[in-house]
Amino acid sequence: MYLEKEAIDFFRRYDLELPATANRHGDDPSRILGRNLEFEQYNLYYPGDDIRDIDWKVYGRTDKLFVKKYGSDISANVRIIIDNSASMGYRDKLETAKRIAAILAYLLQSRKAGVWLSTVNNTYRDMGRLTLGGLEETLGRITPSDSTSLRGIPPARNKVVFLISDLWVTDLEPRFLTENRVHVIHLLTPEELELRLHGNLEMIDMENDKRLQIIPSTIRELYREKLRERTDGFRAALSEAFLLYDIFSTEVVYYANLKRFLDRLSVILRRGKRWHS
Amino acid sequence: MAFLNTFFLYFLPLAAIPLIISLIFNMNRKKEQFPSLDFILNILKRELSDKRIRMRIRQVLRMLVFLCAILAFASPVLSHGGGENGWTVIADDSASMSRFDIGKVIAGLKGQYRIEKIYTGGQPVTQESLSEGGYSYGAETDFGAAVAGVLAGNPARNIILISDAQKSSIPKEFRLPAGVENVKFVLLNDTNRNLYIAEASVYPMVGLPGVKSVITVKIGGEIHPGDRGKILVSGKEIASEEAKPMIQLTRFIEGNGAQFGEAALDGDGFTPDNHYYFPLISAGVPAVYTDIKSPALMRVLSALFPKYYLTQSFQNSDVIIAGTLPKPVTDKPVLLFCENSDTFGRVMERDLKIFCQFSKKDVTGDIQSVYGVLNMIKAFRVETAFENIAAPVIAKAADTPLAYRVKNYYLFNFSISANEDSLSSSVFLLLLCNEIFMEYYSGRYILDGESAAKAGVFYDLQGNIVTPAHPGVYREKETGKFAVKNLGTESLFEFYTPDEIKAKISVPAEILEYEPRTDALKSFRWEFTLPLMALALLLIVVETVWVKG
Repeated sequence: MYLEKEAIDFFRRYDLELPATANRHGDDPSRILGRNLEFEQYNLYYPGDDIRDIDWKVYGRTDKLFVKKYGSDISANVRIIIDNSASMGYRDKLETAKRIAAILAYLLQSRKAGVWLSTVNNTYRDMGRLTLGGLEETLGRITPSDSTSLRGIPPARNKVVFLISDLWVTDLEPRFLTENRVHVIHLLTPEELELRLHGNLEMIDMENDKRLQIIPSTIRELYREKLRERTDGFRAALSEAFLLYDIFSTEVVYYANLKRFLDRLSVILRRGKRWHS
Repeated sequence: MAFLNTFFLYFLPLAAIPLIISLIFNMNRKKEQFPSLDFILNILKRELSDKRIRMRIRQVLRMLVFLCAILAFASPVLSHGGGENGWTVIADDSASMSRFDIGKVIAGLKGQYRIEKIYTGGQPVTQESLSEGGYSYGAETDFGAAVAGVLAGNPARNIILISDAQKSSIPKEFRLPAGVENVKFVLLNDTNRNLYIAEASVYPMVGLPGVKSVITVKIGGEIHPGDRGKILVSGKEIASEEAKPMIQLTRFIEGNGAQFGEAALDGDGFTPDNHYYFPLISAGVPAVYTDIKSPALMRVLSALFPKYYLTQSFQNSDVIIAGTLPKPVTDKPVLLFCENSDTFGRVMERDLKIFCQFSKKDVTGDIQSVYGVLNMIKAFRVETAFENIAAPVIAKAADTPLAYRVKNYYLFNFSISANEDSLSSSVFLLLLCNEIFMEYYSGRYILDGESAAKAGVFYDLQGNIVTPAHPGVYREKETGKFAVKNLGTESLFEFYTPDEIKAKISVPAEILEYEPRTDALKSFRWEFTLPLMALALLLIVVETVWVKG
């Protein structure tokens, strides 16, 4: 069970203020486009739009491709991307990520947001819309494999994107995350945060099988410092782009982490920051 | 370069310990999967390589620390006298030097100096012969004259003098001949506490069933805590006690025939004085030869020996019981039965002259009465292990044999009921013969040089022909008689101090220190040891600072 009763009960105790999902100036929830029967407007076709929505009659008249947009029942579109690279298999991080995704989806859906789920390792995979009914089954299909590469993540268009990842990607620039408008839940174990490992170890990389013989205690301080530099860099860059970056330690129960995350998100939004540009 | 303490060089492989630990550590490493090795490798690349180099340097530093410490303990010294210039060793041969092992001292010197010639007194010797005991002491010599004599015949530039600097054997001034450039003086000084065993004895005879013997060892000199006295019977240690002026032990000691005990002192002092030999008269289960057939005699025997057996051959017997002393008796106890003083006197006259004189003088007439016995006891100046025994006590001693010691003889007297047979009221003397042995045995300096020479050829107990120069038990070749030589004297000598010695020698001399307990030169000299220790310490500091760095 990824959607746990304790998590639901936890959020029930708090009067959680979820961000208004369509608070662009002048926006109205009814203008969120979707697939109900009410025609809303025409938009120029862009690659990636569903070709079923192309209005061929208008094309015949204007020689331009227009897609029909309909009204929607949902108040916002949210995409949750789970990093399912092999490194996420370390100390059940992926399981935690799934639980976070489950409760987040539950909370968003209870506020009439549409939630989509994707996974990313060295390939990006869209798993479609997440419904409460199919939540367990969909999340259950996600297993850790391959190396991490966030390259396949598409730019967020009309969607709020949450990425749950350990961000162990070589040469990952914060710019990539800001350009793609991704809110980041950086999920790490205490071992990764503090290099809390002991003795003389032959460390083996879970993704590429590289090996390193080391006594972790000898580099612990340096490791912490460098990791702090890295996470501070992400935080600063994302904050500048009005995106939220937060570290979730698996040592702390995940819904407590998530509550802090959502609280911060609300603060950002109350200050008039935007979900997306 | 030489090492004074070569034993520590065996520990040199220990210097590899840091390397071995590192290897073992590497072999025992645990495998651990980790998600972010690229991060560690990329970001800590420089630091990791730096750390690896530091680790190697620390390993080398630690090995050097071990190496320095071991070499420091091995106490390196510069080998003196390399090249053409060898050293001539001249050792003092005065009597007081007998307490040192000169061979060992010279062996120690050979580690540091190129020794060319060795002399004791004025005589050339080899180190091997010294180690094998080929060094005679006991002469009152003038060490200064001996040195001058040697150097007159064999001029030398480098000399090593070995002496205990006893005042009586060192002249007021050492005038070394021209040409002597380097002088080392090995000062064999010890604390000279004059420890010695003054006396050791056992009473009563050993091997008596159910009877414990009292062993008494008297120790003279300045006893310090840690000095120990050992008692050995037939070479086997039976007790080791903290030394005190008188050690008295009560033990069951088994044995038959003639045995010898040895008291040895572990401590300071003259070695010859620290060993003392004494006879052990054994009863055991004797084979008894007798020419007297009498039930009363059997009673006497039963009283004397709870177990015994009769033998037809006095040669094979342990004890002879006779009315007259058989001639071939050499070292067997004889239970001599005398019915009257005349017989007794005759026996004494014939076989034991000293006794005979006493008997002629004091013991006359009928000695059948208890008073007669008492008189005889008085005449022989009976010493008992107990208090002097009054006449009535002797009279009552019908059932229990009482043993008295007359000098070194044992006298048993019995008062047997008058009606039994002709043996009644007789006197039995158990002459614990080993008799010649007893005659010789009277304490210290039994065999001085003169008497030993007179006595002729001696064997030790192993059958080797020896000169009875040292304390020990010997046997004369011709007669087979036992002889014990003990010294047990307090040796009082006066010695010069190192400064006094330096002042005496005309050429500046270096005094080499000596370890009295091991007969070796001092194991540690600081000329290289100290810098090595300092280096080890410095390396430890550098290594520690490196860790912090």
